[in-house]
Amino acid sequence: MLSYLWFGVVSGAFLLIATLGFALTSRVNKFLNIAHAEYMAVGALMTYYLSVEVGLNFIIAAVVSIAAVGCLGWFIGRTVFESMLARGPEILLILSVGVVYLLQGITEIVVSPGTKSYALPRLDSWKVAGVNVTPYQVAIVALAGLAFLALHLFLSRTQAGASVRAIADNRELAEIRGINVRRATRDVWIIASALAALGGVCLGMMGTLTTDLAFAQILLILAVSILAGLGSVYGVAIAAFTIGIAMDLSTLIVPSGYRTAVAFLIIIAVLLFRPQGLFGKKVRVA
Amino acid sequence: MDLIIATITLGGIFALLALALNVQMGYAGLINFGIVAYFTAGAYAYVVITQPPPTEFDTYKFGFDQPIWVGLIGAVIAAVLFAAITGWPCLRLRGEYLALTTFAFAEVFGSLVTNTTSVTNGTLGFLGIEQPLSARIVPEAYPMVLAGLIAALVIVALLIVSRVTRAPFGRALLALQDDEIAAVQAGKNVRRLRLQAFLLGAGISGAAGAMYLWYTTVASPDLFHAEVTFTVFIALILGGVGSNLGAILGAGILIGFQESVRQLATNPTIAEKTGAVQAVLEGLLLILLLRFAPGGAAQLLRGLRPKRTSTGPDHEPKPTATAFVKEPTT
Repeated sequence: MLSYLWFGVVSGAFLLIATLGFALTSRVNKFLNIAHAEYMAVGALMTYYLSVEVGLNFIIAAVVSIAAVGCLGWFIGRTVFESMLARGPEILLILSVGVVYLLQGITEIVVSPGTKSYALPRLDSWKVAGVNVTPYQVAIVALAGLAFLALHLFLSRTQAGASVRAIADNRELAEIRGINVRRATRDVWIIASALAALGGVCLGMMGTLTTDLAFAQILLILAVSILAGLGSVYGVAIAAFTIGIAMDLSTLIVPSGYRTAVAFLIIIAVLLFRPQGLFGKKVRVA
Repeated sequence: MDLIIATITLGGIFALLALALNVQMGYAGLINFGIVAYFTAGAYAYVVITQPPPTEFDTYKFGFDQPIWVGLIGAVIAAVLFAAITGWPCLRLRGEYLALTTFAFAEVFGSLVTNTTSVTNGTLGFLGIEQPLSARIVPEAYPMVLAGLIAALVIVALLIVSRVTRAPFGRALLALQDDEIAAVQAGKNVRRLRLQAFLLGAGISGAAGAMYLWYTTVASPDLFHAEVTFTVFIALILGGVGSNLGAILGAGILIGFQESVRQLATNPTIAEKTGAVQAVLEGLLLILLLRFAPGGAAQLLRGLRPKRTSTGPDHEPKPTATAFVKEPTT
């Protein structure tokens, strides 16, 4: 029981990292970027490629990949999404599916399809209250805490963060008031996609990777951000742990094949009964 | 020759799905990101109805051994029922929220299909599914007959859909997209119209699901991934959202392209990379189409025709179903 709870916390920490960037993009640019999960996949597999096939140190490989995906997210945001922002969220949603296909294809050309895993050394696990805790799990939880704190400090304490909040609230007003919208949007693309890549690396630390992991992951990301309320960045923390723990505890009751279905039932229930999510502002969805 | 037959058969099946999506998205403005679920519901209903009863060695529990036409009707009914169950709550939502909920329903349904072994036989699925007319035709000629049969059914569906969408029903749907408040004032029941469009689309998808099994002769959860949904979206956007003929054209072009790639790549090591190259090209195609030709092939064709109305050089020719194409007001 306690060990399931701990697994849930680790899953929740991973979901938090994976969803923060997604929530930030949807808050600022007002659309659901399905490609976010593909940035995760690119980050995870680039780390695999650099550390296993090229032979770099794992941490260096991860840092390089996260930086590269940050730039990639910026490039795609600028070239593909920004000119289409006025076309409405539905078009952008479909557009981002196009980006998934494009990036997934490129990834499969570089790293052939199939199951991959990081050749991480086996570290001794600790026994805490009868639960096996591995250092990697602790690292994921710590990274999630750090990422959340860093994003919070960025948004609340820096000038650039204030610009991001301003364009999230009212893009036109922010522009009129002389905020550099282009630069703030760039910051959002870079932060969101770098967080996605970090999430991808964590996913690789927890288990194996495949080139088509994006669609499975985006579903969980959507579940978390809908529960949090679309566009709510802070609610993501609570929603991520709720879904992570609910999913892992549900395996006690239902077969584990239904693990993700549990996440989806949460989405459906939330959209039907409380479409603004737990922490979102009241929105008109129907 | 194989290529043409495969394109007609599989293209016809996807044309039905694109047609179904066009009723939902082009006319009713409903973005259904879960088309694959209705397709799957139809396919599995067909299997359960036509499959012989299980022997003691089988893990599945149901098989009614009915004729093919019963299976086809059952597929339509199952998909419509499933759409009624999912549509009733979902259709209160709009735009991207509807897209997400339908997507989520499709994923839950997919996981049910994989895990409910007693009905679907799990990941093993079913082999040797009965094909129409297969007993009377020599196996060598069968693919051609099947292609003809499916092409005929696509034409029937096209006739039904274009009849329905030209009728007051279709015009009411377009009116809702154009100006919902005005349409409501004119006495149109928004929820009912949307639900009807959703059910019509689902019924067509269900029939397509049964026909898909005629083509594959196997049913397994691997065949029914979200990729099916996205292929249909690319096909419809390629053909032109809002145009029934465009939906069929788009599906034909896209499947023709996919099949040619598949037939070129006979060597397994090449096949691995061509799948990736195909994904790259389809992604690029979708991005470029949305950016530069949101009206798709249908709008290009319409542009070639001489303009009948003299609206002046500033006016675009009015597309039939515009909600997807038009610039938003924000």
